[in-house]
Amino acid sequence: MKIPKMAKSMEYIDNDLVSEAASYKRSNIILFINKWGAIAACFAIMLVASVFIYPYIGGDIVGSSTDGPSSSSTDRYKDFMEPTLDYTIGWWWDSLVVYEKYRNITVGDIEYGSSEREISYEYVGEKIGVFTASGYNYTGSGKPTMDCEVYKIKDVSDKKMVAVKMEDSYYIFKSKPFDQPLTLGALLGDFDFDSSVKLSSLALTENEKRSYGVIENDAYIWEIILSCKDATLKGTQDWSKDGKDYVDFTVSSEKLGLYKSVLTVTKDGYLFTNGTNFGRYALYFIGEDNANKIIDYVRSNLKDGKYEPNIPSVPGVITEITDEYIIIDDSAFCNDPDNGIQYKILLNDKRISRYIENDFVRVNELVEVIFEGEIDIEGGYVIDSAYHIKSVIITDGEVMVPEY
Amino acid sequence: MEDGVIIELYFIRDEDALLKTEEKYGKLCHKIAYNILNNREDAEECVNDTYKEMWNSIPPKKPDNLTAFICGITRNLSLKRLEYLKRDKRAKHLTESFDELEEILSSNTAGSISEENIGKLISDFLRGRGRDERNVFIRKYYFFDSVEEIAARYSFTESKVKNMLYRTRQRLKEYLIKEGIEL
Repeated sequence: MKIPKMAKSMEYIDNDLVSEAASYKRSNIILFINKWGAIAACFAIMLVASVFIYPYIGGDIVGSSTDGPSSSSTDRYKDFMEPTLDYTIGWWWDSLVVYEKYRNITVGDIEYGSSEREISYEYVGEKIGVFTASGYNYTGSGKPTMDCEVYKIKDVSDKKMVAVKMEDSYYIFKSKPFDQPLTLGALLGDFDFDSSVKLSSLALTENEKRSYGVIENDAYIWEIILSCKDATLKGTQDWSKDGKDYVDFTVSSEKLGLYKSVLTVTKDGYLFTNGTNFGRYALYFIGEDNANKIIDYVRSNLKDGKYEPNIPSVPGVITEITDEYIIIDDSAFCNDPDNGIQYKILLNDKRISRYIENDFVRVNELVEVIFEGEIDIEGGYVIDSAYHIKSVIITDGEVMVPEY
Repeated sequence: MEDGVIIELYFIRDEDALLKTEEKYGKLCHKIAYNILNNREDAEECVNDTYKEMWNSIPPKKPDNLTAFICGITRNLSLKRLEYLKRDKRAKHLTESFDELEEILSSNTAGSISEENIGKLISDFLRGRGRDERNVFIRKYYFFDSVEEIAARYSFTESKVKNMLYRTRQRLKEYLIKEGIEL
């Protein structure tokens, strides 16, 4: 029989297109149903947890820097929630960014894990050497590896954190759970905390009343904290600040890979932070006098500020999808629909664009977009730091179910 | 096993290369051959010929994309065998695919343009399409999967796959005209 010329011509399409089609399956939802899947499911849960739970560590247990209403219960919005899924989702290998692929690296006798955060070259110190980073391709086979240059981070102990060069960028890897420093001085020294973190945005809780604000100068507070270097470690778990008066400082630092972690000082003399390592926190006793000096200073110098959610997000209905951005309209979520805003979400990060590329969300779907950083209001409500999007349902009044 | 390791086995003339190739790519090759030939024995022979061709061509060739390389050999051998066999009993979806490809660019009017050049234009066109659209098209006209199989593979409805393919064919046709190919 005669083979059409077009059929023969298809033989000459580029190799990468053929291999992509040979392996590509549209849905990135992976139903983990076998024994290996169970392991993968745990891994995926850890991935999700690292993104969504980490900022709350201390929040649910001991309070976070900006304990406040969730985005779904502010005055602006009706209540909404993520529908319950009966499966675990994960991404195919090709959909992962490099620091999600290669999550572990061993340097000497210390194993480090990806913090999923990039660090600027200005913070990168001397080179330690070349080591092999490894990952687990749970949608394929094998344990992929990649040789990477590992660097110290300036003024930070390389026993706690290092910078790993991957694809011409540097990423923070933190040592796997370690014993917290036994003194506050050791913690400050290991992480160069006082130089790397600015204590500005805060929430002050007194007599169960919570006020949000900022202080312009944190020098006095650091002076007091640095005078407590001998304060000893009092705990790493099961501590609660419920019922106490306290101040929560929001702790963010690119150099330390921190985004909206917390440093808390309670009136009864404790200093707490979750800004050191994966899921662990450190609690030191600095004395009531020092704690009260800090709280008094905050109270006297507090300037009005706005509530900052731990995890900034906006809900909305997707009204447009292009290759570069999506538009979501939050009118349907607003208690007063006339106040609706259209947000332009840039797809400039693979972690967000992969949802669109793989048809994971579609036009008319109700979603919540998670981001870091600020919304460019003057530029037309543009969000250029989105990294996650998820389907949600409105639970206020009439229940709405997203169309899949 | 990594493709690089398999290729190294070919280079040192270790017959394990064939075993590892079959382990990794046997199923895919059978699928392509069967989609084209619609006969298990013929497909089996074609796949065996593929392994022979691999053994004879590596070295000197050192493919940088082993998946595409072996798929290309299987597809090419299968189409040649189909021409040779002149079999009447062709798979319905294959006939359908051939007809649809012929509608995009008739073999009669495309006589002077090389298949390689057309292939390059198709690649350029597909790179401008979304990932789903691109892969659905390649599954249909390179791997010759049926619409049912594609729908199952990508969790689409069959009608969605058909519509998607229809639109892609129309766009490709327009693209080829725009690129100066007389249809």
